[in-house]
Amino acid sequence: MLKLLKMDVQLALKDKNYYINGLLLILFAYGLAIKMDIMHRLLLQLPIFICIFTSFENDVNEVISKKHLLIQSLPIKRWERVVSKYILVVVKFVLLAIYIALILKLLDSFGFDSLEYIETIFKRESFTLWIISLAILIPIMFMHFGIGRMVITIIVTNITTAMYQIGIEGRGGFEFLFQMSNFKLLSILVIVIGISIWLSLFVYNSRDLG
Amino acid sequence: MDYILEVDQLSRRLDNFRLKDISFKLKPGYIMGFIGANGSGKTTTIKLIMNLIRKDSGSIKIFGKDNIQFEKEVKDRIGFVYDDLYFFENLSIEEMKDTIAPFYSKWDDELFHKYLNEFGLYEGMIIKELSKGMKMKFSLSLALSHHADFIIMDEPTAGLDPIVRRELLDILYDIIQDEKKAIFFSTHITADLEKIADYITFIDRGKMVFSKSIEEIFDTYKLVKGDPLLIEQINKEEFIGLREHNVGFEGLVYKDVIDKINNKGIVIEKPSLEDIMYYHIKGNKNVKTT
Repeated sequence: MLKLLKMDVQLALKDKNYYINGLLLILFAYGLAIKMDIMHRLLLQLPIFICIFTSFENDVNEVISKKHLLIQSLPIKRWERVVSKYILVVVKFVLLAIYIALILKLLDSFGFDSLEYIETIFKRESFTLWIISLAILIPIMFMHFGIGRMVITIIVTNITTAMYQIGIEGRGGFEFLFQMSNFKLLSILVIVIGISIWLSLFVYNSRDLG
Repeated sequence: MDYILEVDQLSRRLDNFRLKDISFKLKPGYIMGFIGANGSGKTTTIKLIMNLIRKDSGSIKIFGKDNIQFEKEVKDRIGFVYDDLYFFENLSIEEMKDTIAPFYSKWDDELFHKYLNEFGLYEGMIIKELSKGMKMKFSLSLALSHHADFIIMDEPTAGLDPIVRRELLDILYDIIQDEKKAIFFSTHITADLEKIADYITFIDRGKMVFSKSIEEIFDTYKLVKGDPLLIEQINKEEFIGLREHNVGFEGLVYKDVIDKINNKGIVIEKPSLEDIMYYHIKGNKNVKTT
């Protein structure tokens, strides 16, 4: 499984579009945030949205170009593919979060105050949002191959980000999660990820790949 | 291990197609050709063997082991070539090789570069810039470079020019000299199989027609031709397939039908695999052409 993960990470790192898209999206978001003060609070969550969305973006391309067929013809077991995909999305998210934070920090030197954005990316609530998105999106990724998945990814990411926003503002949404102790929250997230992995294994083991 | 591949009563229903009770076996040291018309179920069968799609019933054993239970172990000893090519297009040949090679326990870099040389490919070539034929050659180089004991290929000669096709057949022939290995490949170019295959498995519309040695096939079937008047000597029901035209007829029959014919004037020939496939698929619906 480590070989599979290494291959996926290497391929992700070699994909220039992965970085270019991230950079363009963050610059776009940042530009909007400066121009439209009223949208500031909403746009604060945009870097997280970008992190989540781009963590999955490459996998959609992999399915469209049928590269999963090449991967599944290799000596690997289906469960290895499933588990490695969870680890890969975590790795890609962390890499993107660091990358976007670095870009924002760079913008600091041009006089933009981006500290708030960087803090938002790395706070506990963002981590919760990301875990919930991952738990929903990965089983869908294994269930629905093709372009439709990208649409579902956008919708799910939008809904979870909105729930996050409402929760942060103390108006419902994920508010109940954010009010829990760290231990209780972590326990719930572990259970959510466990169910998600079980679902993904069930879906991927029982479906046709070709 | 008596057989490298054992397919027994394999069935799978798809939306508009049903693969039903497919059974055949392949021993080490032999090449088996897998033939059938478009949509007959060849690629479905190969995908089932590779556990890319799920079976409804039946069993598949590779090296005597269940292909699902021992998937990883079994695939480590298989060299597989798809009918279509699913590479990471932005990578170079060397980068793609570096991506694939770590998965195989017996990967041989020297052998890989030998095949690249033979096929006129270079490490630095970018995959998206390769022609279809070149991609197929690259795919073959990957499949042949980890000392696989069993090579499975879905339409490997499609898109290759006759020279490269001939080179590929020579390579396959060399591989099979090691009598512990076996090759199973589907193709539409049945002339390739006549040169190299020991066994032929023929399926039509998802059902088995036969799985026999090539000698047995040519011994079983005969092609008969003759003047239109001479056709009366043969009961038309006994034709597997028949084509009549203004100047004569041509049809495929079982060998024992020949013994019943007063064959004066009737030409009896050894059919090609293409003839056998054509007449089997067409059936004994008499087609009259002018």
